[in-house]
Amino acid sequence: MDKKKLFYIGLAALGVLIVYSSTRKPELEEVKGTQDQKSFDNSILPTQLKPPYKMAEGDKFPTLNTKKLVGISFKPRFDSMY
Amino acid sequence: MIYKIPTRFEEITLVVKVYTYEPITLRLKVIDSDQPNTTFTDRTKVVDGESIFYVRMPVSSKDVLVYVYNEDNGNMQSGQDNTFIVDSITKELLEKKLEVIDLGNAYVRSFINFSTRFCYNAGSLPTGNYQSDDKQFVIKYLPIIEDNGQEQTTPARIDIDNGVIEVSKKHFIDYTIPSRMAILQHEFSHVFLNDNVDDEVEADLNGLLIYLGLGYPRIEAFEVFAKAFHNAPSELNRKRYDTIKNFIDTFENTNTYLYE
Repeated sequence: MDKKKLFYIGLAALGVLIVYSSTRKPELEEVKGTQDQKSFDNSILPTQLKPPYKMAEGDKFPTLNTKKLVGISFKPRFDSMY
Repeated sequence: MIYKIPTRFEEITLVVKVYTYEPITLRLKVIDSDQPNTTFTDRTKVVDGESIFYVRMPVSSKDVLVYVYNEDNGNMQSGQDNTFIVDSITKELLEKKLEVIDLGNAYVRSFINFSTRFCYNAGSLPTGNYQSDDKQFVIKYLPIIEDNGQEQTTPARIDIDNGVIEVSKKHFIDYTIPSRMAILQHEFSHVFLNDNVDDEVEADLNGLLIYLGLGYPRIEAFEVFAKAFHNAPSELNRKRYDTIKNFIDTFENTNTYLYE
C-alpha cells in the first residue's frame, strides 16, 4: 500500500475518533453520601488557591495609600444600614 | 442524586442537563468534595421537561460533588425518585470578560488574588487577620461583626481610614464562593476604586464589573444582594437592587471601564 493511501486512512481514523469522543456522553459516577471532609489538607491546593497568610501577633497593618484619603471614621457596610 | 465530577482545579462551566416528567422545583448544589463549607453554587429552578443548568466556575476544586434533587422529595439516589432524570453533566470552557477589568491597576490584581484565595478557603479558615502577599490588604475574619457589643447584620464592611475589611464568619461560612467574592469586591471598591468612597451604588457597580468579568455566575450576584437587602430593607437598597439588575442584564454589551 502506498504511503499516500496510508496517510488518508490514518487521517480518516483520526477524524472518526474525534467525532466519537466529542459526541460521547461521559459516564456519570453517582456517590452515596458526602465524602469525609474532616481530613482536608490544603497542601494539595495549587498556588492560586492556597489560603492567604494569617497574620501573627505583632504583624503591622498596612497604611492606606490610595488615590483618595478620607479623614473621617466611617465603615461602609455591605447592607448599607446607615 | 450526588455525582462526583473531576474538575482538577480548572476554570470551567459545568453543564447539567436534566429532564423532568412534570413541573417540579429542582435544586442544584455543587460543593467541594474535600474542603468543608465550600459551595460553588446552590440554586433552584422550576423545570418542566428538558432544561440545562450552567454553573460558571472561575475556581474549582480537585473534584466536585453535584447534588441534583426534587426540592419537594429531598435528595434520593437514582431509581428512588422518578420525577426527573439527570441526562448528562459535562464541562465547557468558562467564558470570561477580563478586558472589562482594569488589570493594569496593581491594587486590582493583588486584591483579586487575595480575595479569591480567601473566599475559596473561608469555609475552613480559623478566625484571625489575613494579609495579601504584597501586604496591601488585610481581612479581619471575625466570628461576628459588632459595634459596641451589638451584633451587626452585615456580612462585611470596610474601614475607610485604613482599608481593613471586616468579615463575619457566621455569615461567610454558609455563603457560596461567588457570593463571598461579590461581597468582597464591593467592599474593596469603596476605598480603592470609587470616586466617592461612601457611594454604595458606585461600589456595587465597580465590584460587579470585576466579579462578572472574572466569569462568576450572574445568579449568585442577584442572590447575595437580595439576601443582604432583605435583612435591611430601605429605599436606598431598593434603588441599589434595580441598578444592579439593570447592570447585570446589560453586562454582556458593556465594554467600558466604570472606574479609572
